Amino acid sequence: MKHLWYGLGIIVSVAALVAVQVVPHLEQYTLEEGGSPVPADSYGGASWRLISLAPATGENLPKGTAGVTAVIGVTPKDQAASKAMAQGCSATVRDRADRVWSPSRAVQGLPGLASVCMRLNKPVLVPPGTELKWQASFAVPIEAVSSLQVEVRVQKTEGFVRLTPAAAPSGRPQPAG
Amino acid sequence: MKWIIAAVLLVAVGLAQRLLPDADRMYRPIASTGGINEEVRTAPYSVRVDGVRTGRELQVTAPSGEVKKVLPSKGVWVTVQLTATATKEPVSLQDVMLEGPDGTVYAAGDGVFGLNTANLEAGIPQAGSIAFEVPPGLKSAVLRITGPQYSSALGPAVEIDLGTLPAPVPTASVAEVES
Repeated sequence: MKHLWYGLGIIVSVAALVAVQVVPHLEQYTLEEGGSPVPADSYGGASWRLISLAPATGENLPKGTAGVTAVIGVTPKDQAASKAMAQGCSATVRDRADRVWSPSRAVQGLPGLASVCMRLNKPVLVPPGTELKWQASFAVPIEAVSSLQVEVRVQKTEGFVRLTPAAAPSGRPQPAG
Repeated sequence: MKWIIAAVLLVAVGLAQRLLPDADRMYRPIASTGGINEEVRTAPYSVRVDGVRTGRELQVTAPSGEVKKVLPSKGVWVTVQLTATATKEPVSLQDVMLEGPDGTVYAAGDGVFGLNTANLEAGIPQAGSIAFEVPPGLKSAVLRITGPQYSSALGPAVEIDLGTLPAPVPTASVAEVES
């Protein structure tokens, strides 16, 4: 009987020790997909901003689905960042329930704005200090629209940048500006 | 006495070894099961089979609506109409099979881009069909979806009993999706 209490004591002690070590840093033990968010003014050596996240028209969208277009501005700080951006970027949107959507070809973007983070004409590299505006369009369930955040990943660059709109998308698509 | 205990333990270890499931059984995907018109949920997606048809040939329609090709068969084409929805992030069903009563499995029709190739988006149900070419006389089947494979073991899976297959009509059809 004495040994049983010793055994139980060891089990409880080990569990308590693990809890003390783990619980204060619980967020570090969650599964991070695609790395961790990086501040918008330094990701990939560039400065990022969400210019607009607005409703967009879609083609044959399923019932209960809405189109949104994100216009993103990125300013490389140096030549290395310009080259890094030329590797390619991808944008996704995430809602409050942690659901993620990739760009949809069924949603029309804004005219005259590229859907890649590089210049379409030569030279393709964006000069340091110059802002490039590009866009990504998504089809999402209507209830997700009000809580969307935009996440951008640059190829071969660790982490991602998370851009939060000042307000939920509403009204008509904004001009690219 | 000690020798008897040792012998009993050895026999017990031998028996336990025999009772252990083999690697295929131990690591096979964890399946959610259901029937026609039932929403079957697994972690990355949910699937509902809306209907099953069979035909002696298969008419394949492009996403634009135009007829792309008509595929003959020495057996029968089985088309499964289903609605699938991703749960949290974009996903594709990919590995989809029909399993006959004798355990034989049939892969989805090669070169037919059915719903199994579609990019499913979270919370947006997508309806479509998947086509399988099977031997004539297949009486019943189970739809098995084992994709997407996050790893080689213990992945999500769906098994839907399609019951008795209907008699074949001259032409079954499948509409391809944009992937």
